[in-house]
Amino acid sequence: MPYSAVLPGSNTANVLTIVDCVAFAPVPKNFRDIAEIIAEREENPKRAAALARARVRLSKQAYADTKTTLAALRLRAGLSQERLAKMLGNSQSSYSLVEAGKREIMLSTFEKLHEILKVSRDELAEALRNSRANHS
Amino acid sequence: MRYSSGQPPYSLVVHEDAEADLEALYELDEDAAADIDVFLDEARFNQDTLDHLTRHNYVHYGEPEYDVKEIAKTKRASVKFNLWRVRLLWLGGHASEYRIVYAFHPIQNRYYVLAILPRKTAYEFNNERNQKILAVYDELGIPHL
Repeated sequence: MPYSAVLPGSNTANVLTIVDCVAFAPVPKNFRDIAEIIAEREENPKRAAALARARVRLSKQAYADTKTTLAALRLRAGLSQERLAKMLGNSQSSYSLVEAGKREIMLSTFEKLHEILKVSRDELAEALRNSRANHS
Repeated sequence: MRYSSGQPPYSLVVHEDAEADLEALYELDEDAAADIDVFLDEARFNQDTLDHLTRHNYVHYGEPEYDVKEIAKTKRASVKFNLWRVRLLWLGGHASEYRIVYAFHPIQNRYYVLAILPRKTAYEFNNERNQKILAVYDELGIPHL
């Protein structure tokens, strides 16, 4: 829940609002995030090609009978969230909100996605609409 | 376990032994290994998928198809582990021949992927490998059921 606080003596322009705060337990030794592992594997061209093929297979499985979403377009292009976020100059956590339909994008990001994913602007706009509709 | 807005979001991390299992699988069956890697990578960002991973006998009949089972029965008769496995059902003959074995920490809301095992050995808890899985489980301090 968003939380707002006003310090004594402050005016209303100095309202501190905490929109979201998530504290994860530290990752124990001998464990790693899967994104980190995949990023390492993708440094090997053979592994990177296998992962890209797997994403295309997943896009065919996961989105065959549903409306095209941004996630489907990304997988069809053989890209991970991490990789696409980097190509856009965003953090993965920020990009994931776009894919989840929780965040709007700037026109410049739209144009970059159009180029990276190699889809028409119409298809991309529809995928973004579908992602937002899934969220709502 | 059902996700609600009052809980921290689910997270997922992978043990170095499971990493090594996958690395070995890349040498045997590259497509199966990549399918498992991609499933885990995508699941990590999908709270709905993560939510399904602790629902015994859950079968995702939509696409992609996968099923989930609790594998808490072990040779330690009086102790039940919060231990699960998922089988990817698409592409029969590839990834479906393997089981992703993981534990769930209910306080941290975190999945710990402990191993990727061939179907035949995923349920034999008297062998050395599976004993190690239980040892890692205990090190994590995950409550027994």
